[in-house]
Amino acid sequence: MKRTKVIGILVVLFIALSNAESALASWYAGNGQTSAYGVKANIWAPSSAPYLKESGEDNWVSLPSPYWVQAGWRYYKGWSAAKRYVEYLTSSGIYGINYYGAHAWGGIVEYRVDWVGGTTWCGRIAGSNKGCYQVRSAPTTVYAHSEVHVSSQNQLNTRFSAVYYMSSTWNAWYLFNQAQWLEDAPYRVQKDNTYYYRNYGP
Amino acid sequence: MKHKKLLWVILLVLVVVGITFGLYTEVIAQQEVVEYLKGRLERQNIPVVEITIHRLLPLRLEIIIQSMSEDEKALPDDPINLNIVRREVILARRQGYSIDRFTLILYNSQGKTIFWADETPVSIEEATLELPPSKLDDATIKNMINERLNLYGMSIVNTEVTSYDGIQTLILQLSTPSLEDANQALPYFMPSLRPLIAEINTQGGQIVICKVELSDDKGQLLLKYLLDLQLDSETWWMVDGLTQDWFPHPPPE
Repeated sequence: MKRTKVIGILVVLFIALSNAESALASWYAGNGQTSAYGVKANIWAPSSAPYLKESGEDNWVSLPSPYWVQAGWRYYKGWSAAKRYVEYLTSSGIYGINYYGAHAWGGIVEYRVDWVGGTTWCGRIAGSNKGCYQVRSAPTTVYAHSEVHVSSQNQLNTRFSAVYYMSSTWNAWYLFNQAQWLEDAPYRVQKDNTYYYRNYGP
Repeated sequence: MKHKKLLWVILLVLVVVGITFGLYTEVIAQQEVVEYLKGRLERQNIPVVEITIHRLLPLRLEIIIQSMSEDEKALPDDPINLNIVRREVILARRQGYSIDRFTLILYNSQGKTIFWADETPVSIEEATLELPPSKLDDATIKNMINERLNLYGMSIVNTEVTSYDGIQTLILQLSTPSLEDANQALPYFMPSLRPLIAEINTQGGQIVICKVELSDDKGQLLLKYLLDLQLDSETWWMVDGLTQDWFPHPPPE
């Protein structure tokens, strides 16, 4: 009788855990900063392609939901290389991603999103303005995150360094100084500093 | 001594005339870009409101197109039309029109701006600017797609492969029982498209554009998506409530 009960509990636990895994299809790790007019970071790539069981991962600086401009690199199963990109979602519901070549394994590239007036924000890669989009007013919370899709067995190992936000003073950049950490298990953040950290897992 | 001076003056005049003539012909050529783009876009039924030159050297354009939307939300075809404009601007380089930057605006039926972007054209290597013709005909590609596509529970309504302007376009019309079923399938299905097309292209295909239209059993459109492998870009419209777990997005509010 006891044995049947234990097996029953184990089965329920297994189903619950399986459902939790399938319900969560994106995992995040990284830091944020409130009331900013821009965000920039040096985003590293691991020395070789991470193991991906399914889908892929993105490493980026971004404005928050519901409308955003985002810049970073992404790598998915079946891709020959990681790609540098700028993505946007406008309030009219138009999504777009433009890619700008490869982010080399072991490479470090500066990605930036900054406000230029009104509701316009620009995505920059290695100092070069790739595109500006009207999405939302400033200031807003900004993020420097890693994002893993579909499988929590996908390997993550991305360092973010020199993570800055732009304050209300025009073109004045300050290091992230808030602990707005986000860690969706099994992914973790090695918190060397609020502006220097490594997202890793599982 | 006087001769030498005269020669220098003549040389200087020639250089100035040469530069002026060069700039003049460049300006004339660049002005032609407006007519060129208008013609190309109208042939593809893109409702152009206006194309203006903001700056000649380097060439900067503003292109306004019309949406049929009557409110502030874009319609499913709008991102597809914006991609056609983007393609024409970037591929105008094949005709010698080198556009440094362009502003792309979408008006709704009341003339209100519902999309505004100012972009640097993605740089396309000369090798991929002019693509070699496909070694596989449209029917062969269609069979390869139907055989190899993993639909993760969705079903194919129609697969179409067409050739136009030296490139092949793949159109996938898919169906799913419900939004919930779509949300289960898309995080697996969408990332699988690019590798599959890349594989077929390495075997001789030349699929440059891939369009996906996903509807539910009641005929409600859930997603209209376009992947452009030549520009290396993606754009789409999707219904509220459709999963975002197949593309980068900030955490939900």
